[in-house]
Amino acid sequence: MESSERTTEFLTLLTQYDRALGIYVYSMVSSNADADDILQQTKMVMWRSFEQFESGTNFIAWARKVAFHQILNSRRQHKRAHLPLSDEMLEAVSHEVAQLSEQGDDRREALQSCLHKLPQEQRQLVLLRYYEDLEVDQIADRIDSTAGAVYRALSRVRLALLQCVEKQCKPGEAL
Amino acid sequence: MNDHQDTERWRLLELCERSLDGKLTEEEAATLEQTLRDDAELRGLFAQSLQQHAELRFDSRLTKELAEEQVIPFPSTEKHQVSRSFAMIMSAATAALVTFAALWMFPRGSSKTVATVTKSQQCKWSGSSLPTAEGSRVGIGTLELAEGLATLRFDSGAEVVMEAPATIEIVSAMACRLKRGTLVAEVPPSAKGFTVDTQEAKVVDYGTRFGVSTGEDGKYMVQVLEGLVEVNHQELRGGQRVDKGWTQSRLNPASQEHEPNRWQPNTIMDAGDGWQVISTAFGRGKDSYIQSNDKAKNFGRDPFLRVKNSSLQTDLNRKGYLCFDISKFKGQNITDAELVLSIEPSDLGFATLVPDSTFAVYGLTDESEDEWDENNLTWQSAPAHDSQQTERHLPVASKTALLGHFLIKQGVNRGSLSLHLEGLRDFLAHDTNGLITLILCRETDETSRGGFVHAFATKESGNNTPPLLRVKLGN
Repeated sequence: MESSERTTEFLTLLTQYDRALGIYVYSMVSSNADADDILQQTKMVMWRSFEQFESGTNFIAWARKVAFHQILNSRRQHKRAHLPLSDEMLEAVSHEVAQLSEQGDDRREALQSCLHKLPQEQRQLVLLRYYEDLEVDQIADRIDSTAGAVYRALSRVRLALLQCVEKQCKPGEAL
Repeated sequence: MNDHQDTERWRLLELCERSLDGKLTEEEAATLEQTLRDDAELRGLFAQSLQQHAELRFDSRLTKELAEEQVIPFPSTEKHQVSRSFAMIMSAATAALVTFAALWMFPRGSSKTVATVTKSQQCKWSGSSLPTAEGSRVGIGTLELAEGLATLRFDSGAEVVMEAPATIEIVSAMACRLKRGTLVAEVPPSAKGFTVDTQEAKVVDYGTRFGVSTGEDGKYMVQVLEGLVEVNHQELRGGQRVDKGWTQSRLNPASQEHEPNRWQPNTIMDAGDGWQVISTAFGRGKDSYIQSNDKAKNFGRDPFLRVKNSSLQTDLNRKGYLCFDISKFKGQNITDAELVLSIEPSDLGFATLVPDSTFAVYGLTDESEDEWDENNLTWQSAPAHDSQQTERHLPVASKTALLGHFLIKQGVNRGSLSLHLEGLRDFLAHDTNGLITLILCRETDETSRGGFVHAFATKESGNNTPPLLRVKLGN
């Protein structure tokens, strides 16, 4: 009985924070397949050690901690597939990413509306990269450009979206 | 946000994009690590980029929705309306923004492309029918550059640098038409026979480097920098030029001569908050320039002052002289000061041949020479100057103090500069005779003969603001 209540509590929390945890791991791991593996392992570890989790404390903070540990493990196994940062720097960056996810749905909504504000050509680039899921080399082929130019263009889209999101999240402090 | 930070941000963002794909070299990875360690702001930006990248991958609904909306493949381009005043380059950061505001367009796929936009510096495009982003491929059509420098590499190998304002029509990999403005073409042997047409001239190139300028009125000028070209079936060799009225029409615009000067305040303007503004037209103020020419030539009535450094053509060095009458501020405490200069579109030289340029402003410390007359100022007789000196672009060091430096990006030929020179306030404070003379020098040399001559408006300018001195008076 007690165990079934605990199960419900775990699943409720996990569902509630699924997206936040997913984005956290995806932020720190650039390959989708690796990120999915890590998420799965993270959830298993969390379930196994859920009895150590104290109800009412910060579930997502705990989840991120478990996930970060899994990320470090994975990095030791497949070094090439990960961001070329030291563990220490990765941790520093992961804290910043965690802070961003505290803004949660606001950021998602802002991003959604900002995507629609992009000029046609930038939208096209976002779609090639994220919807068609193309590699940069493939994008370069598709639009008859070079990988270098595509990376440059991508970083411009990135900044345009970031600035737009910041502006929407803090309307009072717009530039 | 200053220019330096801006550069750093772009560098970081590019490293970030490439690190996501595991494309960084070891060296770049070390740079990334170090940057993130040293700079909290950039670390924040990096984290935001990772998070955005993650959101777009994780949450497929975001892009799915966007894709569904995308029914028309390429509707008419949304034009960025950048107002003319935006062109006033108040700071390098603004210039950077202008660049980033440029459209990022990609070719329409079906039409045949014949050239690539390989470089765009400080570019603002207007009404072009072709893509203009760096790296984009362009087909047959018109490119209109409002500001900056843009480089096109034709598939034949010919490279054309457009200098704004310029409009060119791309005809094929071997030909283009210059409708107005200036371009510099570099043609390797593979593109021998590359043709630039203007309204009245046909320039055929035989493996060389040359510049062409033309106006909508058909007047044109062709200057061969190296090699051999044919202009309307007439051969022209390195160093030669034909000028069919082009320079003439630039130098003496018909309308200017009899018109009164537009803006000559002979008062002190109160800019508020303790700031007072005077121009070189105020009181005994004056402005002119000198050129390293054997003939004693004076430019006191010119509507601009020219500044150039050339180690290649020693008779073409030029230095600007400004004098402000600050006697009205005598006895008052100047707590801050700025020099404001208007960049005049220059008609001399090719911007392609002069990189981003550093200028130095010197203050004349030998006050006995402050009484120069702008209508007598020549290379043979000017303050802090020795006509025989070896550093022809600089003043005599013992009679001057360096007040500060400023930068003008390659290809920028309009806009206004507000210069906060570190030594200016002290220099003003030490003045005893009510006059201060500033000497304007370009430290950056040209890379080849025929390079750009920078110009700044003087008080004789009919359409631009003269040099201004802004001072803040405190108690």
